[in-house]
Amino acid sequence: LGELERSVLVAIIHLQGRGYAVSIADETSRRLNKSVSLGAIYGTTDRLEKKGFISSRLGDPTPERGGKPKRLYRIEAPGECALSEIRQRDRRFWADVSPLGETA
Amino acid sequence: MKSAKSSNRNIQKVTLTRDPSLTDREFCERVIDTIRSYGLGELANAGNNGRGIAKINKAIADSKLGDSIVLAFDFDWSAVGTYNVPVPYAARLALCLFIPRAKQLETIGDFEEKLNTVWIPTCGPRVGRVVCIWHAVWSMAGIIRFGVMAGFVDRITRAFGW
Repeated sequence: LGELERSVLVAIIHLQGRGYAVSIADETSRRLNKSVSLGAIYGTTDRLEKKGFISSRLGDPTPERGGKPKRLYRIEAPGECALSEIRQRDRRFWADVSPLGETA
Repeated sequence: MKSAKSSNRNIQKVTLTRDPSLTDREFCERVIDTIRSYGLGELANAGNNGRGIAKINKAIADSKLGDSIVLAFDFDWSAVGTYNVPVPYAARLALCLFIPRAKQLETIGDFEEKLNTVWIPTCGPRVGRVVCIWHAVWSMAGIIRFGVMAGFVDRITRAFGW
């Protein structure tokens, strides 16, 4: 998983099934500390959906969207597995290194 | 395409349960997240109008630490200022060219939400529409760029078994 894919997965978990493109883009931008375009989110969610990491359903329409529905995303078991694997790998990678970069 | 402020009051009720283990700060973050996730717009917009923020602050101040209570407050869009401007045709065209038909409606809805809650309140109706077209074109270029790059990396990864 790339950095953006990972961040999008984390954002989807954080939004607890109520994440849609706009809120995922906001959350991802906040986490990565840089602006993320909606196009990047569409591309990433498409790929994650094809891999079976996330699933989507249509939500309720809201007035500011002109009555158009939202596509809400939620994480699936393979996505959770992939994320926890990355977390464990990162933990192992940094195991012997102190925050200042000196070996413990 | 009229760019008038909506005259109707869109009051959305948000109900939150305050977990006793949450600090004031954590609870505040929970409130903000909920407002965003319910599609009630950017908090920045609420921040542009003191009444929106005052309502959130009052809701937090009225809640008690240590108790599990249910908060219910109305978010009055007329206090924040909402617009009902459709996405410009040029932006629709750009979106429809590169988004699968099954997802076009939601995608246009996403851009309409950004247009009405961020770009128009920030830049005004005319510039807001131009910004919307620019973002639509840029996003679609991003889809192509990202798709090509990600596909290439996937193929390399598979070929070398990394």
